[in-house]
Amino acid sequence: MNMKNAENPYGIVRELDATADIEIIAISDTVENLFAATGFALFNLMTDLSAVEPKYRWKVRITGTADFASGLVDWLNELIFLYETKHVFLSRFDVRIREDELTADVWGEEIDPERHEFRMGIKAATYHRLRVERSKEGWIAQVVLDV
Amino acid sequence: MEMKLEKLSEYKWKLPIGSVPGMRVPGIVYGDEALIRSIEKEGSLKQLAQSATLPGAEKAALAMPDIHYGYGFPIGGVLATRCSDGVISPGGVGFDINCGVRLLTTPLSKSDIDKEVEPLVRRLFSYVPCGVGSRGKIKLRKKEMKPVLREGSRWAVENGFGVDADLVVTEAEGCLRDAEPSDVSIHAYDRGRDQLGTLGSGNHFIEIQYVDAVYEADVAEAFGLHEGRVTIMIHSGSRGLGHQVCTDYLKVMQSAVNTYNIHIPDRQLACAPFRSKEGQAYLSALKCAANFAWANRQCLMHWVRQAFHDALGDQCRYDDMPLVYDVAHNIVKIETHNVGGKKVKLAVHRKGATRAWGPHREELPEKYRPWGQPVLIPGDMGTASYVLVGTEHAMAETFGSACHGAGRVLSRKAARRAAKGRSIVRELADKGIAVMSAGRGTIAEEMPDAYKAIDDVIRIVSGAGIARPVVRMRPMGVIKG
Repeated sequence: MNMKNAENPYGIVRELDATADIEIIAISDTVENLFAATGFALFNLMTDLSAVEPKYRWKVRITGTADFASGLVDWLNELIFLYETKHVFLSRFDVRIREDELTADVWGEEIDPERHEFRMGIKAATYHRLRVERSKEGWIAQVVLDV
Repeated sequence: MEMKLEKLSEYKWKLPIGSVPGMRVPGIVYGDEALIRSIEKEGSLKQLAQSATLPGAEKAALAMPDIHYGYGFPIGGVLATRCSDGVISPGGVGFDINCGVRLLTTPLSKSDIDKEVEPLVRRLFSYVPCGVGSRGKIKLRKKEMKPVLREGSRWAVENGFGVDADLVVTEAEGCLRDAEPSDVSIHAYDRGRDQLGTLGSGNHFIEIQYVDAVYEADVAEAFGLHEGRVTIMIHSGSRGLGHQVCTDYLKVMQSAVNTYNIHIPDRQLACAPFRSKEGQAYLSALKCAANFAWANRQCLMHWVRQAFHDALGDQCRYDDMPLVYDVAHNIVKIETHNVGGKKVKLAVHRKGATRAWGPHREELPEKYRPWGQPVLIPGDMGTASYVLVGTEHAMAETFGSACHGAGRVLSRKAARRAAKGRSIVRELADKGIAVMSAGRGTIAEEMPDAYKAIDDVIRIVSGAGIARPVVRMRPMGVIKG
């Protein structure tokens, strides 16, 4: 199955109908690409990532998480933290997961109101309807984001 | 499992214990037949039932008529838990701790500014930092933030944002005591550092309005509101600092439920015993975030006052724009209520619900005590907002709580779909409402069609006796993040 597409280079991500928030479901070939896909989707909800160049790199490290699902929430919340504190949009993700540690290199650039469209702000990833599972089709994640 | 409601009266419905396993109290929904039909399959009733499973839940889990599906707890809900042996839950408050609303009045009438609204909206947009990625005008180092977290509105007034008179007409006088800044993480400080005095995005707004209907003239007079008078409503919260506090403590609570052997049907309902160190740490951090939000709204109001004064001069001076009231609608308050004939100390979680205290309460400003508390209800940006007054009946029925707004009916995705090919800004302009927004998607997602009819919500709340309408305001211009 071809997991890559023009919308999201790391997997297939769809937005579900959720009344007050954004719920996404993602599918990818590896769990690392699944995390990358959700990271890309997070920023693609906030802006048009085709206008965001992967100019600068930041490192992310998450440890001590109980399971992949909790790890996904920690990962997305760490990306939200980077976005808000460094004022950046991120468009490229290289994720490595070993036992209970996630390390990642992420690339993007500082938010430029002249070039970057503002779509919405995302406050946090939640634990509601959260799952990360392996299936015949690949790795699947489902997560609700608070807008 | 299907949620079956029992009709108790025209506007009150019961979700019985047993609707989901583990309910400790029933659910009570304030709504009419049409509302009940619209939410039956939406999922919010199940969320209400699940919230009723939390230890220490008293009397009933309540749903106001603006109820809609959230994450864990429904939005538009109230859950009170006993402090003695119950729990406290960050999900019962939401990420935007002390998201709330304040209302100012002015000496202006609608006809004074009919031709000035667009320039006023543009000026507000330039004075108030708003939108995704926006940076505030106030930048604080961590140690400078600690007094903000401890003192809330008082910090703002002492630093030139507003006047002393603003404090007494703010819920809790703009400060929850015993807020300990060391309970707030470095991540939260980092997120909040340059966000003090920013509007935020999504459904946050500043709206220029005029009073177009008065329902109770005596109460309106006491609140300083008159027909035709221009008012300004500000809706904003604790920004990234509050969001991070919730994120941090939801994570703490994921472990706490195991430590204290609490079974929860949804991870977003994670909690800890109120008296535990985790519970007390969250309460303290929540107070810090709430105080940050009050300081935030105080700063936003200062720039609104400046904008109007700079635009209109002596016609509308800074000191001629008094604050009517400020309410929180995502918060936990520690309150004593009468339950079964006994006074019980409760953690009252209001998630998309507003305190609505009746008359003669000492906590209210003296000038409002004979009447009750102003309850500020923003509608969607195309129709109307309301000021209500709290009632004795609310004290008995809903822990002194009422609705907080119109409540969404369309998902953001569905709203964007419905808005395709339409210019919502032009539609609002055709109605005489000037709109400026920092976010392209915001206007579509926040369009009037995405919300329940505010008039219906007000009718139900009034019919149920938990708050009475005092005045209605119509929008003239709005800025959104």
